[in-house]
Amino acid sequence: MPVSVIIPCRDAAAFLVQSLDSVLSQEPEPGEVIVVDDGSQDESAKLARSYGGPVRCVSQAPAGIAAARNHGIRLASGEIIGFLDADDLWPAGSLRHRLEILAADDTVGCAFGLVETFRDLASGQEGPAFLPPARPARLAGAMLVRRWVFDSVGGFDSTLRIGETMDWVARLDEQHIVTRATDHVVLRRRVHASNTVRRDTSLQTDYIRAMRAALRRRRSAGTA
Amino acid sequence: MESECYRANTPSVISETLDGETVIMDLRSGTYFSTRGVGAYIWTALEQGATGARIASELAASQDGEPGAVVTAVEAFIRELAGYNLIVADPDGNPEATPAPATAELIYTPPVLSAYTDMEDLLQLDPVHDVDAESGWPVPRPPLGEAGTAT
Repeated sequence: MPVSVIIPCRDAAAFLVQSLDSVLSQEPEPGEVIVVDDGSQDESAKLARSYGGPVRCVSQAPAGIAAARNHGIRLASGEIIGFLDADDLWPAGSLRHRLEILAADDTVGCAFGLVETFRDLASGQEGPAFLPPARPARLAGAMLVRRWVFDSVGGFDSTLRIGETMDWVARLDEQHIVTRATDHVVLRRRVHASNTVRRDTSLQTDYIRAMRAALRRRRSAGTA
Repeated sequence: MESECYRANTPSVISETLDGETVIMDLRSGTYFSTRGVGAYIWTALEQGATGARIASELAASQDGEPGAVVTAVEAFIRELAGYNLIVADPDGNPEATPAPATAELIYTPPVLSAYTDMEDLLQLDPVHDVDAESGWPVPRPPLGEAGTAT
């Protein structure tokens, strides 16, 4: 099953090599890795272009992570599509464990797995004292999706600055797409030092916007 | 309880009221909530600093409901919000604060809080940590000289 991996990226040069290497060392190696450079001002695009092989890089004017993923989906030639944020990693076996799920059952549209968080030590900051244990989570980097699922569910909502995955997963559920998860860790998610991240409550309202829209859709469909 | 002031349990609880529906999210538990009509009115009034007693009397005065039942329902609703840790007592609140008048469109029905857990996995991981509005995503660009030092 040909797999396309989409890596949306903005100014993530510090992490992109690790991220790409973690994808390229998967077995089987993905047929295609598309780095969607969302207007980076750093070396991200240059780094991605230097890889060659299955890696290609397309640049777009800054439009956000949802638009970058959608751009990648449009370009992807694989029947199976995976995503990885440019600062996260796929551990060994990530792709194989999820492919096995899809190979075993044609009706499964989307395979997930466990997500483990790790501290970004490179920044010299310790970050949060507590990291949650590995747990199932339907983050974009943890899902492997059959292409036809996007025909049914649509792409990511590019008007949301955050919560775009939550919104997409809500629509996935509403379309009754069959999903299944492996109990292996399929995504290692980098947790950045707290001082590099601001809690911006205006961003958090996008979570509410996404869920308000989901509640309305479900009410009008009579399912909530 | 009815003479106490409350505030939303920020920063882990976020909420927004629009078109008579309040959507509340608890980023710590990953549960989100919806309440409409009278429930949304009560939430907004609590945010304005009004006590349960004041909210109940405003509702009872403007509605056809039986005042005793309105008081009981408002108290139960506030208890439910507090039980989910969505609100906490606010000792700095002003017990004299008056809630905005209930509008004529607000027809009294007992407030209902609906809880949803289908996004727990994503909310508990709160990807907002990775986003910065000014510096890009998934993380701010590292300062000059640090790019490429990640190992």
